Amino acid sequence: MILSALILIPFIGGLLCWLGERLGVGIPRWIALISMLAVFGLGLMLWAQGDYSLANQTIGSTTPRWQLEERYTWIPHLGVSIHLAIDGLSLMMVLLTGLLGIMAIGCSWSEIQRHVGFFHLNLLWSLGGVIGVFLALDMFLFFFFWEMMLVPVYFLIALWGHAGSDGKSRIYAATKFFIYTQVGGLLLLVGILALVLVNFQATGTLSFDYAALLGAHKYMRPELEMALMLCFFTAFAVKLPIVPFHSWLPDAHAQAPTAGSVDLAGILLKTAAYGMLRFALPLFPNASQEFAPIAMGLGLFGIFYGAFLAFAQTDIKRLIAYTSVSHMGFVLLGIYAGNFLTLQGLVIQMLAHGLCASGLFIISGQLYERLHTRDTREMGGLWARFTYLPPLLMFFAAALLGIPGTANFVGEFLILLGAFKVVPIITIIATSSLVLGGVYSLVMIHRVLFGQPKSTEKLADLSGRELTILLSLAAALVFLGLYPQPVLNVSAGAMSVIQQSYAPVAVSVPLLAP
Amino acid sequence: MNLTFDTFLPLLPLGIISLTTVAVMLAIAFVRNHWWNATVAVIGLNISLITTVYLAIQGKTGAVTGLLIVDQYAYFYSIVILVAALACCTLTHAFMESYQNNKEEIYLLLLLATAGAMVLVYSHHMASFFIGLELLSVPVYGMVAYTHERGRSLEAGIKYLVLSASASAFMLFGMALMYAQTGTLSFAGVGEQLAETTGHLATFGVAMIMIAVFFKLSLAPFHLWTPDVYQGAPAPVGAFLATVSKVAVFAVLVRFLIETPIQYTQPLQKIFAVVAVLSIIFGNLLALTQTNIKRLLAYSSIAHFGYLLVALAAGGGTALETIHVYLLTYVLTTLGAFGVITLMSTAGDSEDADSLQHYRGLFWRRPYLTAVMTVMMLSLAGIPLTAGFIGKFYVMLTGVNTGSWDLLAAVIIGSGIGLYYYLRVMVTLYMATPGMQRHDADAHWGEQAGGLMVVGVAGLVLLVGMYPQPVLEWIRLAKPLFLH
Repeated sequence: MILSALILIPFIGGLLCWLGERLGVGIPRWIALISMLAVFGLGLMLWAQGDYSLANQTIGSTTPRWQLEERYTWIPHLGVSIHLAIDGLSLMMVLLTGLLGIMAIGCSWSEIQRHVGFFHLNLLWSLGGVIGVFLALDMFLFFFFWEMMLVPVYFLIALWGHAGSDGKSRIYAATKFFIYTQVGGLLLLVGILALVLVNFQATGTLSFDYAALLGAHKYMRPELEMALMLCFFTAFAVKLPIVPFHSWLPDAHAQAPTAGSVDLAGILLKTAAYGMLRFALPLFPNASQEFAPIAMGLGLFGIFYGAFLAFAQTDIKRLIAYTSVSHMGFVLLGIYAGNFLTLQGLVIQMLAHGLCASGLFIISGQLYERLHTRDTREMGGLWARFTYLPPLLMFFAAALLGIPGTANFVGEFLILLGAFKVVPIITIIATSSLVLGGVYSLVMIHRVLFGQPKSTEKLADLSGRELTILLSLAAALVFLGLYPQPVLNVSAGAMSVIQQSYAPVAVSVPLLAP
Repeated sequence: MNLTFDTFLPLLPLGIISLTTVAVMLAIAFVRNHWWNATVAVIGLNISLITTVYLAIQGKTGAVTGLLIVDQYAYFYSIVILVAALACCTLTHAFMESYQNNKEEIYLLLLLATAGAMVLVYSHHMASFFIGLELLSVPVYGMVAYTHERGRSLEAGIKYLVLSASASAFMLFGMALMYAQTGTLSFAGVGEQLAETTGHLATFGVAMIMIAVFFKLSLAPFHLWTPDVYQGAPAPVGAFLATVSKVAVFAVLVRFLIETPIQYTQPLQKIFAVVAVLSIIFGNLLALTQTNIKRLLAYSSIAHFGYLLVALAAGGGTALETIHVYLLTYVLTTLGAFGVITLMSTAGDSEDADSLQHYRGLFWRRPYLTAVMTVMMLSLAGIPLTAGFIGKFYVMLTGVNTGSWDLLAAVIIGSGIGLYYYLRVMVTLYMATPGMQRHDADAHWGEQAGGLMVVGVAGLVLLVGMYPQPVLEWIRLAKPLFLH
């Protein structure tokens, strides 16, 4: 019941927002906020109740153990059921979604003035779809949510977005986003169907269930396994995004409203990483192993490409978008290095990137509200014109470059440490990119905060609401940076299973509190 | 053969439609009253629908003379056709209300065309195939040109008449060639005779019949008439043309293919593959730049029949089920889309509200109508939660099942291109601009039968999209009967 509730609350809340608009403009905001608080609260409750420790898992096993499972019949004709389950990895992602959902609603409190009800309908439905992706264990259901969440995000960008700095309209950006991800999605569908049919021919049961399909790779020729793995990989690569497929991301991010950017960067990108971890690796372990060097090469390229392009941007949101490309390169590296350390680091890295990128997007949204520009050349000297905003921007920029004490540092450190054992050379090159991270972060701060101010007039400082949002994000980053152990404990079980099914090695259990 | 009442019982729905036609004619002769005449037609269609469902549940199947065969397959398509015809009828009523000229005869034409469509679905003989096709097409000429005060409507009617007649001529000649070689006209007989005789006449014959069928289904490269006719035809007639006439022709095509032994239809699969890919590419590419929503739907229907043909070209065990599912979801979606256009337009105006401009910012004026249109566009694009997704899912399933990777590639590319224009229509609905054109649907559209129908169809599209199990079970029953 709790798992269905996690998915249903945003959907029902969204509808109520739409209907509630006629009672007053403020009503949808409160309904949305309460819904996401409820989701976050349920997530925390699951954390408190469950025992996610590795000990709960049969050590070295490749069959996942779920903390909580729900199953309802749906389309028995096709072997499809509504199968939801949660483990440590899903739990972390759901919590991130809940938290960032609250932030997204909070940061659009004054930004969105037109059609408030419909806006929150779209926002909540996209969040509901994302939670569905994190909980679905039936491939059909997974695909269902995977595709469904695109529509609300499309509306968020197309209807409430801003015109791009280079004259591209928001509809252009939204359509590009939709077509990229949808075509990727259709490839995923082909992959899923082929996987199901292979399993059907070998075992005689038509099933879209994750557990049933986990063994399907045994019945495939290596070329077929590779082809299907590539179908999955491409779909996830488009959304992650990985460099040849990334061009929708800067446009979509730059043109989206703040809440949309938070949604995209903080949560949607994580669904792709989640998909790789949960599906691409365990379903096609051999092909993934074989493909790993190429994937890591792509990741490495993305790290540098994103960093260089971020450095060259003048639009602050595009700059942050390209840093996402760079960070997702790290994520890809971590996934395919497939070491227990890197996988654990990944969880922290995904959380950290979600929190940090959201914080930066929220700050750029606040700057835009006050200055009506996103162009860094028009800013300059803002340090003198605000009291609270500059130090917070400074903090998030520092987190972005991975300063010790923030969660980003822990994530990157664990990924690099783990990957060094597997692919030392790639890791050494990737490490050098941290310098570039420093360069673009500092350049951003320098252009925005320092230099000659355009005017000496003081600007409206952050309101209590804005300050609360940013401070809670910052607090979460610092907490994870100083004491990541609780999160690592929770994700250890799930990650060990993924690691075992991808690259079996002798079990060693570091990073687990006794 | 003993001709008893039981033999003809399965044809009862067709008989009821024919009787209703007469009844409507008499009703018009007695008193010209739009509401009353339309109601007679609707009652007749409903009785026929109920009878069909009853007979289908009773399992009354069998061949009725050598011309017609009634089986679960025919019942399934009869139900689809009758439901679509009913929907078109209610839409026509809403649409024709403000028409200045005689408005009642269109129901007559609609019933006749529906009877033709049912004959097509029942036929397993070339003669009934041809009779059904003509009985379907000829009234449609009249329907397309019904609002003849509009220049476009008349033009579309004439265009459809000329081109359709030449297609029929192709078909007749093809049948003659087939007869010349095989000496029989029944679908099954042709197959048997082909095994015993040699020659190329029948090959040419089949090719010519296929040309006629492709024309009726507006598949590339025989699609050129489609956008003009869709644009010119009054919106409810467009709905009829896009649903009833295409479903019936496709149903008979599939029956022809399954009654002919596989070795003779195998070469056709290559042709189907080429035509499918051409239709997908042409349909989607040409739709990209359209600003007229009816033309856009015309091109999109070309593409959709391309996807459908992929199932035929790929074949395999799931092909038949795929065709059923796809046609059903396509009919529902098209009815909804044309329904919204119909409710936005009236016959009294000089043209339909078919320019995209009319729909700008509709959401802020008519949220429910817009919600319906959004669902339809998403369904046409094949996005989950809508019936269109289930249809696309099945097409992909068939493609993967038979390993037709090249066809799948065409479907994926086509869907990618298609998204662009469906999204364009969809987002137009939501874009508010100051001083926008205030073309509104009738203020009471929601209380009228047409409004209820459209909302109902949207509900069905969502239901099939979210919980397809009952529909899939029903479709599984729709098996053709073999009489070998």
